[in-house]
Amino acid sequence: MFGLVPEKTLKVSFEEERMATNDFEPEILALCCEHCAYAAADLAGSLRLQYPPNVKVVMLPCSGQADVVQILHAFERGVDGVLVAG
Amino acid sequence: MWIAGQWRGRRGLSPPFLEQRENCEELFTNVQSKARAHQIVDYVLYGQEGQTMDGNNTLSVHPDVIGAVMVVGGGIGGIQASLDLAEAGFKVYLVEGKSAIGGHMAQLDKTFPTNDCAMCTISPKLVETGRHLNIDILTDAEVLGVEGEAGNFTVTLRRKPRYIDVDKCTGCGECVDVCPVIIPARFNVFEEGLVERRAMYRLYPQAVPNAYVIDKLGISPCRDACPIHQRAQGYIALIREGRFKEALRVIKEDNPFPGICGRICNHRCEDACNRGLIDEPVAIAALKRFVTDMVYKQPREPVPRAERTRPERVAIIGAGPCGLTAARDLVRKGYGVTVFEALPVAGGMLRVGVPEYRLPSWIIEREIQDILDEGVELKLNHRVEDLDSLFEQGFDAVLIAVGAHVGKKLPIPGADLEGVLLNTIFLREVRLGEPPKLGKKVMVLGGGNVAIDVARTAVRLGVPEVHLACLESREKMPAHPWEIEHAEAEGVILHPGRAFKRILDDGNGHVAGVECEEVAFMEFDAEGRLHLETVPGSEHVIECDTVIFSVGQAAGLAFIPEDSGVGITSRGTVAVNPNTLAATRPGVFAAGDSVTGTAFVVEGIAAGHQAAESIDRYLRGEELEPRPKPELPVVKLTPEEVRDKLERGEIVRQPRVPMPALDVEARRRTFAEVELGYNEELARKEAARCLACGHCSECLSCWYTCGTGAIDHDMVERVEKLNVGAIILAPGFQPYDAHLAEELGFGRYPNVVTSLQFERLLSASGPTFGHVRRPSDHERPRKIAFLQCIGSRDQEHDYCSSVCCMYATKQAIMACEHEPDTQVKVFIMDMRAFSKGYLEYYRRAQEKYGIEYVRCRISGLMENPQTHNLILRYVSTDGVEGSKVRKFEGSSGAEQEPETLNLEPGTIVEEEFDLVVLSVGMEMSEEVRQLGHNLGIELDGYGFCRSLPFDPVRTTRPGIYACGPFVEPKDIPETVVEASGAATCAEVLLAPARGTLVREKEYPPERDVSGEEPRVGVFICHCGSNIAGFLDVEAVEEYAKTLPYVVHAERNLYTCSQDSIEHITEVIKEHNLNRVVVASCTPLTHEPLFQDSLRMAGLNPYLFEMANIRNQCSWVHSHDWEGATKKAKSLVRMAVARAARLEPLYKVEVPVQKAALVLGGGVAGMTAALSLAEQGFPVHLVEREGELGGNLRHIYIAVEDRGSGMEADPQAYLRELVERVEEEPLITVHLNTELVEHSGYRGNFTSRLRTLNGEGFVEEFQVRHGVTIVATGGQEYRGNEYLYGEDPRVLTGQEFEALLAAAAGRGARPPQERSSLALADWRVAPPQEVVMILCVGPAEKYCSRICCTTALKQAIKLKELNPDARITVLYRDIRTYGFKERLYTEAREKGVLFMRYDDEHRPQVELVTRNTQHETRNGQELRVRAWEPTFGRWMEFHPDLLVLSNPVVPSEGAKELATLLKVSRDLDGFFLEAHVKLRPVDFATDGIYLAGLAHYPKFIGEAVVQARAAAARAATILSRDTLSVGGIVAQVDASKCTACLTCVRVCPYGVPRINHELKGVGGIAGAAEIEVAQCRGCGICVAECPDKAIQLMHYTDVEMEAKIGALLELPEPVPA
Repeated sequence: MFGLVPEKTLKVSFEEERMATNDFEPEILALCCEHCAYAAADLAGSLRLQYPPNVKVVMLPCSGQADVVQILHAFERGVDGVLVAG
Repeated sequence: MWIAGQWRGRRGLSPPFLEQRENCEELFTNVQSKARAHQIVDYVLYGQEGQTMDGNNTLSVHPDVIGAVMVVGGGIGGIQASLDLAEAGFKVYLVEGKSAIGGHMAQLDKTFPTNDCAMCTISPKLVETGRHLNIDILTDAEVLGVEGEAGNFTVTLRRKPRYIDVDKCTGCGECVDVCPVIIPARFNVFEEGLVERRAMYRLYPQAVPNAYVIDKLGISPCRDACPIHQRAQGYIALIREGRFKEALRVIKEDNPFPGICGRICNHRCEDACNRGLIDEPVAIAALKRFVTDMVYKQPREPVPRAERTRPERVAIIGAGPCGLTAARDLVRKGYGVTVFEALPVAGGMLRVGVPEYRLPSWIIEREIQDILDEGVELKLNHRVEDLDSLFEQGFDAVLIAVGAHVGKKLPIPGADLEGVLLNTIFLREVRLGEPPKLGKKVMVLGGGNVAIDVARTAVRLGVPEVHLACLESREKMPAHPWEIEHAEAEGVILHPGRAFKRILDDGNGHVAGVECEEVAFMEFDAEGRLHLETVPGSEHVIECDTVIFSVGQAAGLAFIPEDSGVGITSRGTVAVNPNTLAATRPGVFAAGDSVTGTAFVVEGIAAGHQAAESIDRYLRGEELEPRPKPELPVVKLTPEEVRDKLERGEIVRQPRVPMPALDVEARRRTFAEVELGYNEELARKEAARCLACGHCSECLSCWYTCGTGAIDHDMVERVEKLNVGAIILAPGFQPYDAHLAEELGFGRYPNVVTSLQFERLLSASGPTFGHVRRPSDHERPRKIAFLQCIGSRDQEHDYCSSVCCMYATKQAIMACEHEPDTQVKVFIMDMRAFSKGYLEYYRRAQEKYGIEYVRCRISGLMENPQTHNLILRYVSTDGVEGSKVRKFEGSSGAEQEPETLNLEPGTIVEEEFDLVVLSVGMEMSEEVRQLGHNLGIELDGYGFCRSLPFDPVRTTRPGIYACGPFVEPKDIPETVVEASGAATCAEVLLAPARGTLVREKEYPPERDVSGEEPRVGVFICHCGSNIAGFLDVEAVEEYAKTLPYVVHAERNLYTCSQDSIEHITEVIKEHNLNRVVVASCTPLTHEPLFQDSLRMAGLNPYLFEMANIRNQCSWVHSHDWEGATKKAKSLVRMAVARAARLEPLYKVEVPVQKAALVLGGGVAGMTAALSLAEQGFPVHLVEREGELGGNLRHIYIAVEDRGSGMEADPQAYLRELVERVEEEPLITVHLNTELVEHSGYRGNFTSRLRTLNGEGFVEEFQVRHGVTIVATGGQEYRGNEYLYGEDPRVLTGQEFEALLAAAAGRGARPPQERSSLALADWRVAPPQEVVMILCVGPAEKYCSRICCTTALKQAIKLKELNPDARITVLYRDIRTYGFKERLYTEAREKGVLFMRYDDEHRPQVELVTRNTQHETRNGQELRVRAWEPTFGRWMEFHPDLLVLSNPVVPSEGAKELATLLKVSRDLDGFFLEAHVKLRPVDFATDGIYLAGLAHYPKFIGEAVVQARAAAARAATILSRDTLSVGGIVAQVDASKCTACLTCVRVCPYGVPRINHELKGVGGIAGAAEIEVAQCRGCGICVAECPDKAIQLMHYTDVEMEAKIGALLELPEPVPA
């Protein structure tokens, strides 16, 4: 099944403080391959499998297109974790 | 047989072409002359110069040939055939018996040997098929018959009703949520009976068509028996669910008076109820009454007024049940309706004829008020004096529904005395509160229900003594028995069987008694006349002081004068046409008791409905006679079905819940209701007794809920005819019914499941969400056993199902993947891992996952009743090490505790497993046999299709082709290959009509939006309540309006419904939008649909973005309204941010070189070449050797004819094939030729060929072609194993075959040198002892697929030539898959010996000196030693011949060719297809295809089919004039490129190359170039490029960063 919450999220030092408090809600970006992971996320919907709303799925034509620079940009903008699934 | 040849003859292949042939090749190499070349090709194809092939129906086509194909069966085979045909320019009708396509593949979890998700691989194909403009998917359809001949068939289809309009259904699923009917699991075909489902269902979540279906078997008997067809099953289902308001809603659809009918109806429904067959009928009427009581207890909600849509007005005379029903129906139809009632109260007989204790007035008033609310005008105290005045008042039609209120007296003396009353008047006066004065002894005359009412009313009025006398005997009284019983209980004294002579006078003109006679015999004849005989001398007097006649009623028709034009019958009723209820005067109708005489209330209501429909037709000016309605079957259960349901436990005997009633004493004193009605608990209990006979209960909940009006419960089965040119049958298989293998306990032991059930247990979308749980206790199984060959290779099945070994291995691996500590044992006979990559997969299962394969066929199993574990007993042939087993020692063995034992081979052991999976084989269903019969094609005894030898896709009827397991059991890739192969056959047949029936959508010209400020429109979908029910759609809309560039935002109930799609186009135009965002569901299925709206509005389709707020918000955060709303806003924000930066993309049309290059002149190459040439495409056939034929030249004995009953000679087939190739003018054969250069892309390749001509000179030339087919074959391995090459008695299989052929006198060619030596020996002394060794050399690494069968065929041939020969076959596994199993059986029957060996005990071959008669020229003889595991010792053989089954290896030069073509090979050197399951003949590079041994070893027939498949794939390109390229592709900015080669290395398709003519960074020569036509748009190069020199269009950095940036950022300020 599509792993919805990444096992490891990259921790940036200034994030750690936020994480120490209990109400920390990470924003997680999931870069998903159109052919498999995105379809799996769709199926999770059809099956009404529940997961937290702070995971946002973005479709890529192939998970091979996930670009390191793109991922770093995402962290720069304050995303707390990135999941590449394909 | 060669129909293609026939039409080729017709089209007149003519000398002019042959003259031009030389030129043609030249022309094709010259771009400028392309147009001329096309003209020539057109001429060849269509016989007339100057016509084009652009598909605009300008082709001159033989009028008889239809450019459409019917594909029967929507599994993966049917899907592939449909796509190939539709892409190649043919119209396709895809016929599927179920409600969606996908077949068995859609049920699978994973596929072997890649472990790809089955749904992920098939789903894109499903969507593509569903959306294809030229594929019509006909679901729920069955082929009844076919007429005509190849090229022009008329097919008759039966379409089962789906009750859902597929075009309107958006698949939102709201209907499922309200469906109250749960269907037993065994009807859930897709989930293999593991879980129940609703009557409303979709086969599976990704089903195509994405529409629901209603499981309705027919009409339930209760509905059928009811005059108004009340949907009783529907409201009962809703009552069971506690949904009382909804229950009343559906009741009121058919019946405006449910509270009344629930009390006084004669409920024929209950007489018809199937439950009566088991115990007692369901108390349907009481349940109806319960619902009204429940709802009417609540404060009344006013009923909305019906909309007045028609100008006409209707007058209805009489406010009884009939008149009021008609009035309600007519206002609902939009008419103005006025009801005239003479009495001061409405309700007719209900109100003034039925006593209060049976029918309280408040119910009547309430139900009438509901009708009046809808807009019916009621005029009380308004007696209509004449009809003319009504018409004068402006009424357009009149309905007479005055009832029968006039009581009748018998014409006997004394009938006019004081104290003689009439029933109607009596009851009316009581109901109106002015009861007449009665005496102390009342006599009621009459035996009907009304008479009983009268008597019981008299009791309640305090009359001390009430008598009732009637003509009929007690048994024959017309009143209901329960009514009579009630009356007696209340003290009414009955006098049945009396004839009334006269009423006695007390002398004062008052009643004193009735003089009666006893009746001896009475009967009414057909005309209604009474025949009466009385007992002579039986006259007697019953004393009384009041007599009430209750012997019948008549209509009061005083207002109809004789000259009104309305006829009256002799019985005093209005004369009407019974079909239309029209009276003799136009515009006047009559219904109810005034037409029929007194009847039950439900009949009055029925008449009201009928009258309303008739009046509607009259007012619309339509034909008055109703059109006959096709009707659904009535679901009557047979006693067998009842027994079956009882046995399955689907029904439990349970008597009817009794109705509470008022006690007798209380009844006598009051007019309160006698029957008290059910309470909620009793009602739900009683409702649960309903058998749901029709499955769908017709409760109409779905109909009320559906927002798109897709539901139509009135659909009926229909028969259609379609005209097609060819038919492809892909009906698939049915798994063997494991119930039949009783010894294995399926159906009795819960933890024995079939392999398909296990597949569903593994599947993430299955009933356990992918957690394997055993059925008995939902615990996870730790030990699983797979039993192979269930329904294969047994007494009833002489074939192997081909797929079970591999799927069991896959399932075992997946079980271990889910839970790594799972222990799996697979009980097999032979491991049939015979295809590409299978052996490696099998090895991995053992080595990586520790799956054990036990060579034993399990003959039965037992269950441990405590644990529901299963106990297997088997022979441990290979020894069991460290397993928890019991040693079996007689029947007491089961008592021992299992222990860890190390056992010797051959020990019988018992072992317990948590779960047993039965690997069921393939069978043909009864439906498939019927299909074969209907189509007039031959099937074998098992129902498989008989096909021609070497040509498995051709059935015995020309023009009808077959593919998939229907031909022979096979797996997915082979089915896909056959499907494409069958498609080619149809294409060849129908080539003249290509493009005649396809259509293309036309769009307006595109608007240039460059330079425009983004103007984004956002459309947010409610998806019924799928989205709106779980998040605040309105808030999302408001939020969207605040986002930058958004100029319009709106919400739609269903954004994907047809009207919404058109609406989006309108809104784009109206607001001048240049970007569109739809926030709804998934782009994977819906993006193309919305892009279409953009194109229709003149916008580029790439200016579109979706926010998936259903699958990613509402459905997955359904308990978090706030969170889901917030996320939906984020997703919309992200979508808008990207949309604003999207740029239009354009595709370019590139012309296609309409010729093919086929490499390899063997059977595959020749077949591919012919398949294309016969469709009219020129072919260059390149063969390295000096003659055509390839490996087929070495095959003399066929395997294809075994079991088919047809004679097949491979050499004759070869000769025919070569002849046809040589005669085919469109094929240019290049012998002694090799490919030296290959460049270009699909549609446009250029190749250089090098020929060694006859004079020994090398010549090079260039050809241009649109496609390339690789059919370069393979060759027999020649290694030095087992003394091969050292001793002439050691032969390869190919050599042995030549020898056999020569010995049998069939060798057309001289045997090769080595075999001729052996042959010389043979002539002296035929071989007496032969040993064959299978799996030689590389075959230990991969299975060469054909060797086992080939060896067996040769062994059989040798036995035929010399029955005394002793043949021993040393094997690892005998892999005679499919029908080839029959050869294995035959070989054993003929006495061939089989000995299995394994890696640890390989056969040993040596030359030994022994002084025997077998001495050879060297004085040495062959000695073969083989290990016999059961005896545990080596056996020795001294054969005359040792035959090595050497495998097929890739042909020489395969590696070089792969480099030239830039295509991949697998580890064993065979060419690698794009996808092992679904693209088995495509290379990863578009435009290059694969067939024959170059792909993998295969039999002749398999190679032929694969070659055809490659041709089908090629034809999808060659049939077009141009190809669209571009769109989402990678683009290089050369000025940033350092030509570092990173992209060249990472591209999986080998597209990027360095162009030295381009200038890179700093103007240095050389930069990467990506050919638009080849790029697949995956973007891998983009991610890897260290210079950021490559951008993927539509996913540019700017677009993606804007999107990801918008994830967190606050909205940018709107530019002022």
